[in-house]
Amino acid sequence: MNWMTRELKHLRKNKELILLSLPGLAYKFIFYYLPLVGLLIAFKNYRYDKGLFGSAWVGFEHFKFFFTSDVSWRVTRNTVLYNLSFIVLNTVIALALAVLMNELTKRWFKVHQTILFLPYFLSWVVVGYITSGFLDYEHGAVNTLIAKFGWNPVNWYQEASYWPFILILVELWKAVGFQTLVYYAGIVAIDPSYYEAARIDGATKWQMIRGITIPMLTPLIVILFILGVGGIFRADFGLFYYVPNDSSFLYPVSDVVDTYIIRTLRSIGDVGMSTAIGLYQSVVGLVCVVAANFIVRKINDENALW
Amino acid sequence: MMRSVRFGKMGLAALVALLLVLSACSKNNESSSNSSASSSASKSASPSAGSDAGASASASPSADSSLPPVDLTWYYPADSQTALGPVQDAVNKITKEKINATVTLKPIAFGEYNQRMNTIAASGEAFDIAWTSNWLFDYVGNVTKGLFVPLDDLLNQDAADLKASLPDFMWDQVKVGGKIYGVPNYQSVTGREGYIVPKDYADKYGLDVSAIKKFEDIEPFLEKIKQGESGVAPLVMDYNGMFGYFIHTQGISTLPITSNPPIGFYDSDTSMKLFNVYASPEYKHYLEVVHGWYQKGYINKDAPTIKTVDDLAKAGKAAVSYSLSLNPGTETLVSNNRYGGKPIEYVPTTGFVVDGNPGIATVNAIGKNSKNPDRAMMFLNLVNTDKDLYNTLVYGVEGTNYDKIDDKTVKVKQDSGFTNNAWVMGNTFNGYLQEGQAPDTFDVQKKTNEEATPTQSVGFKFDVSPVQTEIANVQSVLDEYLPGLSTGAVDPDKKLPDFLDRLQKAGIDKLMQEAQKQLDAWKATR
Amino acid sequence: MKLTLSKGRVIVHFVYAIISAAMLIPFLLVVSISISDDDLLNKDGYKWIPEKINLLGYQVMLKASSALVRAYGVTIVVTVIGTLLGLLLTTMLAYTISRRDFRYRGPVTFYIFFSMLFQAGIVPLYILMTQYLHLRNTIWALILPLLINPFYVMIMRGFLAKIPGEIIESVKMDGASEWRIFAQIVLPLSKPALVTIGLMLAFGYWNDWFYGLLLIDEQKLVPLQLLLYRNINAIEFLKGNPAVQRLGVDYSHLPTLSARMAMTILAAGPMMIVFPFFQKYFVSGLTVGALKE
Repeated sequence: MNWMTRELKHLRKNKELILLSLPGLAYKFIFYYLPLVGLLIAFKNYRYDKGLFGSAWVGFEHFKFFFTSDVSWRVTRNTVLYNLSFIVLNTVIALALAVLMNELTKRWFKVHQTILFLPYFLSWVVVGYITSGFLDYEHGAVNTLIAKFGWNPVNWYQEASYWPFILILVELWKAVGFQTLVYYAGIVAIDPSYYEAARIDGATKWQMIRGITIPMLTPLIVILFILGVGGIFRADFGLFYYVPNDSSFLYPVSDVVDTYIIRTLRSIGDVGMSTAIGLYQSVVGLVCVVAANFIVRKINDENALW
Repeated sequence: MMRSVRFGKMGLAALVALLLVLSACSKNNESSSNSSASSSASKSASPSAGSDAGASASASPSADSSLPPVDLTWYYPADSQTALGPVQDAVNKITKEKINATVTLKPIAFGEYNQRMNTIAASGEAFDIAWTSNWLFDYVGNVTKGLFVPLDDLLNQDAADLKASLPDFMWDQVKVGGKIYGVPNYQSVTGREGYIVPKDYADKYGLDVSAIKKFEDIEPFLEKIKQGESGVAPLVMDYNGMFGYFIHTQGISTLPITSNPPIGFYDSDTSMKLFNVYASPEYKHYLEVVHGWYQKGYINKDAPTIKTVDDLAKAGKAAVSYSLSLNPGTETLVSNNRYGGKPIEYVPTTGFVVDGNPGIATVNAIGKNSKNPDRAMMFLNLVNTDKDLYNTLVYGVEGTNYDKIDDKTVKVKQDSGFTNNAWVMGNTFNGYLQEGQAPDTFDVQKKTNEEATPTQSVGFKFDVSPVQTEIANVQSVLDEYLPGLSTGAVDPDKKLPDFLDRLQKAGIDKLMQEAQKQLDAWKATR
Repeated sequence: MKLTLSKGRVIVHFVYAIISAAMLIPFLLVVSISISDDDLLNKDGYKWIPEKINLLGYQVMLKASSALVRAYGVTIVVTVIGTLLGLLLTTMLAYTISRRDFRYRGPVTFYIFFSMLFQAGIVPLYILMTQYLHLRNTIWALILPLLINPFYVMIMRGFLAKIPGEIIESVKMDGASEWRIFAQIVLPLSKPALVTIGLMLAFGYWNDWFYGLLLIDEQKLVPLQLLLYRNINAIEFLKGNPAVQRLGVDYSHLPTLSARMAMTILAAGPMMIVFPFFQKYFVSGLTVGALKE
């Protein structure tokens, strides 16, 4: 009873803030939490005429195919390693670009920021065309260049060893503008008086970046990092399917969970199996995020997400 | 300061407005979806049809004027139907008069059909008719998951004409567990394996069609092209290779379980004992031949990574290609799609065969949640027996979407905003011929259908549910090895043992046992 | 001092020029293909500088200009409404969980964050949209599913957390309600953040085709990217499918490669013109600090 009255008092005290968050919370409930019921499909032999609740339970049957496959380790490794490199490289490069961007004159700032963002508007199918424009065996720009030096052309789509670099490069090219924008906004939001004070103390640009910009951006970096970790087991299907042109020679380095699932299930088309793997990806993501958040909190409580 | 306050209020106002609009929209939609779903609603759903409904219904001699008006929905795949309205009106005019029903046509692009229809099916949404097949929006899978109504009784009741209009083997093919769940669209059901050679190369290098009995017999011809032409691949392959395209040429029938079927039996073996086709001596022989060709430069270098041969062939950078459906009357279409309209010649290596389940290659079925399955049946009956209706569905409105060349032949206007594929809608033999097709095309096709040799497993349908795990794993191994091996790009001595080993691990034996079990049981019922 | 600074700036400009060029070169290929001759493309592959300029691709696309213009209209309406509404809700939500004195901060944060991890799949959402909310073939079908992205809420929270607690505290002492604080203090102070998240939301709406594919049947409500998606993907699907060859689909009339690339340019172009317009808020954001004094 005592507990309840105390909680009620808290509720009243936080009333306005609760109201402020209510529309968003309600939205998430309707458009996200309600549909989550659908995850039950992963454990059911879903029949259209019986519906979700009428269909028979099958336990973990739908998960089996992924864990019994001899490539599940390979696609898991690829997915995690690519995502880790994207997180690290994206952060470092976007951060560097954002810091540099702050030094540009106003006119050039506009030009460069627009250009950085251009690739974001291309669909992966189109990026796939562009990649083949570079790497096509006969007409690709790279082989044309190689021929000028008198070297032997490379059959890019049949040589797996180059592709980790190519895929990372393409992803950076497409995504780095987005993150740069976020970090740049973070830099802009820093109180200029810090820099003013530092300048009076005779600090160099480099010192200011290390002493002010980076520490001020740390919370943002940490947020983006934890968010990235949550998706560590999910890969961008478009990147790994259209850019390597689904070439079977490249599977050892290009096959990730999402491409693998879509390819293997295309002849069966079972909604239960694909839901099951989606669920598995989510659970792994959740575990990683909780762990990451725990570590962050150990280091600095302020930066933890919750 | 004031401005900011107003902004806050505006935000709230926007929210309230949103909620109002939302509820208004939903009410609106509810009423419209009700009217289209309920059969007893007295109002006509389509205004254009409604205007002449009274007159035509009473004028109609059929007893159908006693039927309550209904509106049916029909999902089917089609690209570029941007100007559907007039066609739909024309269709409804016919159906309103004959069966007092209107139909809402719901074309969905081919590339989106699977995604959309699987979602619609899983959501339990009501529809009257949906197109389905064994290669897009899987017919057998949908039947086993309970999506469609069995049609046996409805066919006898409401569609006797339709039932009688198709040969029995077509009805056999759509049976799952002894019951009919869809109306097959009758068309060319045969296949014939062989090469496709552009006429100019055939003439220039003296192709002797009669000398080509086995797939490797083309080699001397390829060699001549290689020597005579530069920058032209004598034989063009995509990542599928051509083993599967010459399967009957090698005396084997396969069961279509995955793409690039892994198990089959010898055509000569009446016991239909299944084996792993990739472990067969035939496949080994094929690999040796093709790998040799690849090394000699007879095959395009990018074969294992390209998805279609059309672009290379169209650009004149490739000569010979192949197909497993060298059917009569298809030369024009094949040439348009692949050789940019250049004259071509078919070099068959088999006779006409009926293989697998051509009867379920294109089917229209009635949904379990349909409110008016009987009316949908009547409608399908009409589509397959009324030539006017069928031709309107396929070709649209005369003058707008097509011009008549003579009684039986039409020229389609490509930019009119309506094109359709005849085999999606119904019995293709009821349709017009297209410009360029010989007048006797349909007769020849029908005759071919009747005279072709069926393989022993025709009509057998594999229930994948007991071995889904194995199928998924086998599929993934096939995807990884076949493009390299089957196009001749990699050395079979190195990769074939690996491949077979991985297939074993993926559980191909279990898959084979299950298939044998089902096949034997199926055979016993014949 | 002045000299070294400008020297550094020169280097920065130089570095950026190189990076931008590298970003731009692949894009030029798209432009080049869009103005190339299709027969030559098939024969000689893609060229950065077309041998023969052929604007047929654009002509084909412009012939269908009524559909294109309508699709633009749909996309613009969806983007504007969705961005404004989404931005408001995102900021409201993010603000409450940025406040350290909000008692339910932890649970609410987790509630939002959790929704990033699990995905229910499209079937339940489809059922919700069509059978309960009845939003199929309405503009809301394109707006609502993308309204609040937990990712953006988290980033927004990070920005808002920077607003010094003392400011809020002091206004609160004066008896201001939370609504007033949000509208009068928080929103004006977080302009750069609002512009950033707003741009992201806008790009998200601009680039989306999936919900249109799922929930829009009517031609007049097809958004731009769905039109683009259809143009590019239709032919990919048909060409790679053996069953299609067997049944016979005439796809020789579908858009050619150059037409597809022309469409890509036409679809992305306008956003590139609008983008710099918003950038002035970034620059003006620099003065936010000064405003506080």
